[in-house]
Amino acid sequence: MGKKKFIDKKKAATFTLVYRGFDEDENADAPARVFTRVDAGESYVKGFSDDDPRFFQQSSEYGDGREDGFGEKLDERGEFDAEEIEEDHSRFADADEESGEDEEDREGKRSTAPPAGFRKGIAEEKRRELIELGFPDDGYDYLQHLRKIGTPGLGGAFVPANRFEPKVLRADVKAYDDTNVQVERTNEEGKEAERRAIEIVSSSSRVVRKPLSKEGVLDADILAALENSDGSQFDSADELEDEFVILANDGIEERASSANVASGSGRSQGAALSAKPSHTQESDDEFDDEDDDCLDEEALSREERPARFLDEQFEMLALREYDDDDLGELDEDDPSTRGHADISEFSSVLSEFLIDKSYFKERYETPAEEGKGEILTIPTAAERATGSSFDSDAKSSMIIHAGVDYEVIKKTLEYRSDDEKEVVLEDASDEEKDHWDCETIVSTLSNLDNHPGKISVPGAVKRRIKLQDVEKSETGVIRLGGKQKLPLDYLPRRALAPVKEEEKPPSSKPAMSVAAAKKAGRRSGETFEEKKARKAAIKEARKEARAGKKALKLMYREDAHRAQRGAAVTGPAAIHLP
Amino acid sequence: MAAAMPPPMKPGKVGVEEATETVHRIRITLSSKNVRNLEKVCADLIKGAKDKRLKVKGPVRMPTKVLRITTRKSPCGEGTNTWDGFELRVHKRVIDLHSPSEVVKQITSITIEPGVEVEVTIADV
Repeated sequence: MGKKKFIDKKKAATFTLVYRGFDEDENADAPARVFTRVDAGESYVKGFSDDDPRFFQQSSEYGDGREDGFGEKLDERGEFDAEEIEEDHSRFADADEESGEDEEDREGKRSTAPPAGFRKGIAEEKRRELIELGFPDDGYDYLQHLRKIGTPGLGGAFVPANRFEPKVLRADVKAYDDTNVQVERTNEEGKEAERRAIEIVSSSSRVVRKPLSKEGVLDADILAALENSDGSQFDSADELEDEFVILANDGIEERASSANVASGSGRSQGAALSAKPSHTQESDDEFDDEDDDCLDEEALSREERPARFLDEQFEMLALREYDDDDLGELDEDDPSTRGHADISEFSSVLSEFLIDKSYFKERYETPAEEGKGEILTIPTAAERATGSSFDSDAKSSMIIHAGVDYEVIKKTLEYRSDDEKEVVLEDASDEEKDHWDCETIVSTLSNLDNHPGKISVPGAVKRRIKLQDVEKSETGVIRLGGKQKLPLDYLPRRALAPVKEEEKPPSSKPAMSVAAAKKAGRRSGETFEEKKARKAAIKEARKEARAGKKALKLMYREDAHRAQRGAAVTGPAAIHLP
Repeated sequence: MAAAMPPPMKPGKVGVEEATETVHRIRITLSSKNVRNLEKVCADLIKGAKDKRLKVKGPVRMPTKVLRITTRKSPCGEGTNTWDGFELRVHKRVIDLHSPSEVVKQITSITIEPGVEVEVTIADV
């Protein structure tokens, strides 16, 4: 265009007011917004470049190598103190490494990367922290966006955590260091000592008992049997006699009796009852219960307790009550229990069963129908026995169905046992005569016959079209017409006109169409009354027309609905297959 | 009655000052979404510049740029087709000055309103 621009962009420096990136070490008084250079030039602008945080003021090391005019300008102005420069330098003191790279970047193009000095504006500790937190190391202080937890006012406080601390439970078992424990050495015979040692070691009780062999508690036989565990006399348990315990302890009856009582108090208590000093306690808590040693315990506990009166009583009880060999057998003299019985005694029962209709019916009958069956009377056994016949009344008559085999019944009835007992039959159904009341009858009838239903007001009977009333077309084709395509010939003809005529007599205005009323009325030179009358007639005609139209509409709608309903239920008349 | 108004340009003492402060052509571009703030900042700037006896031109109002986003109100396609017309208006004012850059710095540091973007272009630097 040639127009002289106010500002030539190529020779201009542009500064933009931006928000300063805050560092904690900077004073809060510094204004929040700061002018920073936007364009690519490096020239110094007084007033603007001073506060420009991006304006790179290199340290003196690199000041010589730089080509731009910054160094010159500094010297010229002399406004900047050496201290000021040093201050600035100190801020970017650790910029050394990266300055070399950025120099080239900055020369020709608009620098997108911040100058090295600016990049390294973050202190070393902060950088480390940022890296630890996972933020990228790009010279931006992300910590300014993070909030310290726990500082009052900023929100968030440390609450002591409810940590689950499991109670340290005391172990049930004690472990003893038995390296220093001295095993008791005895001077007794080898075998006995051996036995005793084994017994001590393998004891399951907390308190070690006296060694068995000391007091001779265990019978010599038993002891011997215990030792020969593999080569026992009896190959299997079955060979043991049932009373082997008693036989073994024959010699020591008293002890056995008392011991029995004692042992009856429970094997588990055997150990508790015995309170014996123990030579060594090392084996106390370390072993589980071994059932093999229960016998030992029993034998031991028997001896230790003095026999009490209670023990004697118990013994007597055991002997008296439970010594009987016949225990468990029933008494033969009990009249309520019968021994063997002959089947012939129950012939009456059988006969009753045989002639019971409910079992031998050929045809299922409801209770009501049962009464209608043929009644046959069969002379009962009693009758035959006595030779007389009872009344044919209900007393002894049995109602049987005709289909039942009479022969079978006779046979069963004639079968009798040896003892000729009179079977007196009592007809228990005597009292329950056939007193049928309506409730009973109703309840006996099956559900098929008696459908419970709701009693309702009988609805209005819908008049169905009688075919005679319909005028059919002669061809036999059903015509569909009208909006809803209803069969015209089969529509119920509603008598609209006659109804209207019936209602109308009281009114003076005749029913005529609107057009007719108009035509009839219009005459020139009519009086006011005539005009009024004419208008009224027209009004009436219109009213009637409206009513008639509405009625017709309703009728059509109703019939259309019915037709649709029917169509919905029924299937299509024909399916066209392509 | 006020005293005689001082002439727009500073008389005398030019020699020393001009040596240190060269008068540049400075263009201040203000842009904002908010017209009120923008006008306020403009007025303050011009007032400040006039206080310092600077030659001021402006504020030149650039045409407002309107960023429009027209979207359907409904999240689905159903319903009457009602549309939302969202707008973002950016107003721009330009003020031209003839002044040394330091003075401009002072002026702009005083009048700062949030939401107003300030761009200062200094010619012949």
